[in-house]
Amino acid sequence: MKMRNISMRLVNSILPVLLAFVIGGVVILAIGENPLETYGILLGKSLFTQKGLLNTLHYASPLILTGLAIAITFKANIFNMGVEGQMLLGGFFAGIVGAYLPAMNPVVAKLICLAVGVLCGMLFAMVPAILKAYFRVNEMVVTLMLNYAMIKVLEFLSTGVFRDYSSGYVSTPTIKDEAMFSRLGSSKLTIFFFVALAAFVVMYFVMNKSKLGYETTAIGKNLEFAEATGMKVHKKIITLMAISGALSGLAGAGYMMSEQFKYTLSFSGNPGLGWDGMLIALLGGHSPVGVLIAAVFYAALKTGSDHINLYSTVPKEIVAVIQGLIILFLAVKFVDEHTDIGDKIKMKFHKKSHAAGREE
Amino acid sequence: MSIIRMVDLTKKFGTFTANDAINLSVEKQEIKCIVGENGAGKSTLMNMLYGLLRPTSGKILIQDKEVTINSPVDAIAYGLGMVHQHFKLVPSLTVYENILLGTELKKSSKSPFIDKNREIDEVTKLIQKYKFELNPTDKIEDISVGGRQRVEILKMLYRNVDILILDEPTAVLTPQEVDELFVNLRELRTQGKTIIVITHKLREVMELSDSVTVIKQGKVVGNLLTKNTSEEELAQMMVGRDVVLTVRNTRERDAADEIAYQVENVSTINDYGKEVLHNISFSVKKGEILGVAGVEGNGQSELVKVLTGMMKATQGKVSIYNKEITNEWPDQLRRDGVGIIPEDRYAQGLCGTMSIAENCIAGYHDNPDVCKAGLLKPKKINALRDRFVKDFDIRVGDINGNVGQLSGGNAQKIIVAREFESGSKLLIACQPTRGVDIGSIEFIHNQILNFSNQGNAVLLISSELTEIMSLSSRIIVMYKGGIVGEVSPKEISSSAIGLLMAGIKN
Amino acid sequence: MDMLGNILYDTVYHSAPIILCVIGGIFAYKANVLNIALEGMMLTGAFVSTLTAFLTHNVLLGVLLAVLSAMVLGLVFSFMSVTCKGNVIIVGLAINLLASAIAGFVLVRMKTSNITLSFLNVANLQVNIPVIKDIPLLGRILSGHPLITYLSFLGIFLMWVLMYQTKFGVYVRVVGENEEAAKSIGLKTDFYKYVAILIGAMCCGFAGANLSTERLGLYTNDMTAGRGFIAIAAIYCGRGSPTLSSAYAILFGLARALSVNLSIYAGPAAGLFDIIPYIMMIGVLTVVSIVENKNNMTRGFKNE
Repeated sequence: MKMRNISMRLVNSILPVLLAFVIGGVVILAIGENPLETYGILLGKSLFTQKGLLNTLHYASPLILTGLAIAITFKANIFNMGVEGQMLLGGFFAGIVGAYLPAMNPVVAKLICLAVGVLCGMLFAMVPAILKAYFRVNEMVVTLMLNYAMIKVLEFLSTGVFRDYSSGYVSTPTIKDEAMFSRLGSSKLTIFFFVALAAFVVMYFVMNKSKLGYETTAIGKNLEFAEATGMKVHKKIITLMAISGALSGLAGAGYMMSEQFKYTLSFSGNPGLGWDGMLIALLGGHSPVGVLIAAVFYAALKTGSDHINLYSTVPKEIVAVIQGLIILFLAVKFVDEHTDIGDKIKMKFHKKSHAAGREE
Repeated sequence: MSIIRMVDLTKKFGTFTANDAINLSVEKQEIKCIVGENGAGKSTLMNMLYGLLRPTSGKILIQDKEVTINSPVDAIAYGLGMVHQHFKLVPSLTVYENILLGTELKKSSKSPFIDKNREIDEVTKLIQKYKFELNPTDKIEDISVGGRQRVEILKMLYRNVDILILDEPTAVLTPQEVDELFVNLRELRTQGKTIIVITHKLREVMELSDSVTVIKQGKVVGNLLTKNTSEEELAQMMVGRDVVLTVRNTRERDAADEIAYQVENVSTINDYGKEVLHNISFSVKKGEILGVAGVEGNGQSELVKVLTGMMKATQGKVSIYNKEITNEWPDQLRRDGVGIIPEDRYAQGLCGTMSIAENCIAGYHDNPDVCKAGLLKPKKINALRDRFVKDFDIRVGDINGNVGQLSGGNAQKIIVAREFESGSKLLIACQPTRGVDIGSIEFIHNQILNFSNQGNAVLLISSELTEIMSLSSRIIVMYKGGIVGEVSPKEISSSAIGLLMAGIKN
Repeated sequence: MDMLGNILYDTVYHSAPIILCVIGGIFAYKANVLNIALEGMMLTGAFVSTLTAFLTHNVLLGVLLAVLSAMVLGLVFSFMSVTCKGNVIIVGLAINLLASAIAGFVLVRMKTSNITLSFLNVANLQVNIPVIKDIPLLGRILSGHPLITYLSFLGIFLMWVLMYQTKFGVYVRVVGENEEAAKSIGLKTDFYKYVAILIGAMCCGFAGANLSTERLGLYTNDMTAGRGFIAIAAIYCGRGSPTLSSAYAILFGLARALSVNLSIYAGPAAGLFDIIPYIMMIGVLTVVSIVENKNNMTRGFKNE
């Protein structure tokens, strides 16, 4: 049964991707280009060259974290759409702290900045968490609103109080050298990738082997059951959102320290690392291993799209189109596996036929 | 001429036969009750009559003409209306909007606008004709359950049905609302309607009906006139053997036994602010089984919710062996030694889409045996599951599969195993054998007796009087949120308890 | 005084597209199919209207095609979530992403970052009502707006009628509140859900056209900037009532107007005005939740 489950999940994830690529291929043909050649550039340069692969892993680092952040809350049926905002806040303050640090041991400097990022993300996530746990407010709308509010606040801060006037565009001061993650070798890869990997390992244990993971699954499947067996759902909501916020903040901080080095208005790219995380969590079936693989694949798409820009006339937006199509097709299969519709139907039928039989 | 006749009506679901060659007739202007245990096939039969299911074979005749009923719309066209157990009403719409749903009156035939005044008029006339008590402009979400049922009935009457089928209508009503319903039904009969009531409550059958049909395991085992039979006879036909179960509590009570569980002056209110428990006080001694009897809807569910941590008591005190546990959350309750068999096993006791092993530790997943430093121990959990399956004779298809594959009885046994093996000192068992097959019922009853014989206390809440009578050492009876009396099962008859259950004290 | 007039005018200006999304979106809300794709539909409306006007110099055609294209998206959304039973939130997000990606793709092919309608002077699209336009303050509210803006306010009333006075509106609500009841009277629930979503899509198409073509005469990437999501929040806060939800939409418009007009005095802090509606909506949702759950004696969470 487990084998069947895993293979079902794989199919659920791969099929939408294939479909999306096919349709994307049609679009590329329509503008007179060769889809296979384009896809070759897209994936070839980003996955099959050493430098390309390492760069891909570099970009995958924050994505692994945001993907995990969403996966853990989705598992409990909590829709934390605020990963983007939590990540930005974490990245922003990690950047500010990193820019104003006194001279100190580089390891300590980095730890401080990462800790600041984690803390910020966690605290910001507490707002929707408390509202949901104690006031039953729908977290989806709240987190969406908070995202936009946070972007505005950070915009305000970076054009005002924390602005770096020596720079030609809106940004905060560049972080000090001690706070920057240095490149390992000639690619962009830094230690941050291993930080993300460590987080992955921890989350793997938490989600699959721990008591919290068990309770999270229960909450996602049957709330009343979770309450009746004493799982104190309101406390778990706070815990899960805290973890989610922490992971998002870590993503932002790490991204700041390994790639951006200062906060700008396009810090998170388009559509944003948080939203990318959502796609990755979906693609990865909300399991940590799935998220890891999906993050790498997604990062490959992203770095690949830059290569498309350089080596072909196909607009790199084709990648965004494909991403959109992937999510769209995922939505349908998603039902089968997340809500266990197959099982539910079986259970209902079992109930009905047994009901009509001996019991009700 | 009977108004409805079913001839050799059969319904199979795959290899399973739900209704087996049913022959039944209903006379015009009578109230007929169809009785049978849970799962005997009553609802299936009526669903065929109402077009929600298609018969596998057999005929249905209405006014001696053979008919095919493919959907509720057809049934209504033939003059058949059905009021289901779960109402199909729209909460934010008003009474008149719900009654006229699907048949709205418009300002003119071409206009898309609804003529609200005309609709209110029509419905007011309808209400007055049948002497129901309803206000047409009330919103459904604001009226009582009894009121909503009346709206459902009126929905059917508006469509000029001559035959009204009601599926377990009293399951959701308070005793007072049941009386009101019966008055309404008799009035309808006087006005020429025929009424069929599906129920398993024999007292109501005797009180209300003109004739009764007994169904057991998909077959008709009796077609009688109510005045020629009795509750005992009906019960015997329904179950097919002596009503009194074979498991009996014969343990003599020792007056010197210590008090294990004490409930003092517990009260609480419901979502509408109405007090649903007043000053409940009782105690359970070591080794004792205290039964809580009463018609469903008199506060038993709320009592269980309060005692199991799902609802807050607004006043009162609960303690176990002198340790106060009032308003504790379920995890703390379990740690303090309270075991819980909940009322609704798939909503509160088990998670259908989680594995059997995972369900075996639910509520006790904190236990150091299965959880260390926050990590679960899969080997120990599987060992526990295997022990449960063996010791409690649980029939399982796929041991690694989900709990949803199990039948009701086997699923209930998982809960029983889990709670009994947890070292609890008090068991709160709510409807422990509802929807469970006969073999498992006996097993579970034996388990409960063993549990109490080992010196633990049991609080048994059940709407099956026979279960309470045969297992309890003492019985308290609940009526309208309070306790109206305490009796010993050896010294009282079921009819005397019946009086208490109806609120009539001596 | 002048500034007050400007603020009033800008309030109407900025509220209109959101109001349109709101009054269209409430049908999907009442039918219990949450339409998160309002953002994407509005963006598509903006893009298609501007592109069409650019190519054909015909604004009316632009608006028409905008509505149609938004409705195509609406069909995709309906198909994926109602017929294929996909998760509505994910389908909605996918559509938003696709709308943005497709628009971006075309822009790159056109080798431009904006589509500017240089032939158009947006002032020509504005309706200046004689006499009224000269009334101080009130005149700024009532006069000088393009057609779709007027349509949006009129739409509040129209949608209210549609929702509460017609059979269709009743059926949509039945489908949303108790699908069992709907099926038992033989309603084709899928049909009502499709129509509810399409009404929303249509309104979003208008909204997008208003935002880009009518007001600015240009399109740039992601110019909707979350207005679709604001509309969703407004719908939630107003519980799907056309009047109340639109009131929240107007609140947003006011905040935007304040932010734009006060920037001269407050500098970048004026941007903070934009935050007010977000915070306010969170506050409203919280209060509503508290009131709703005031009498709830059940501890802990229940299944939906």
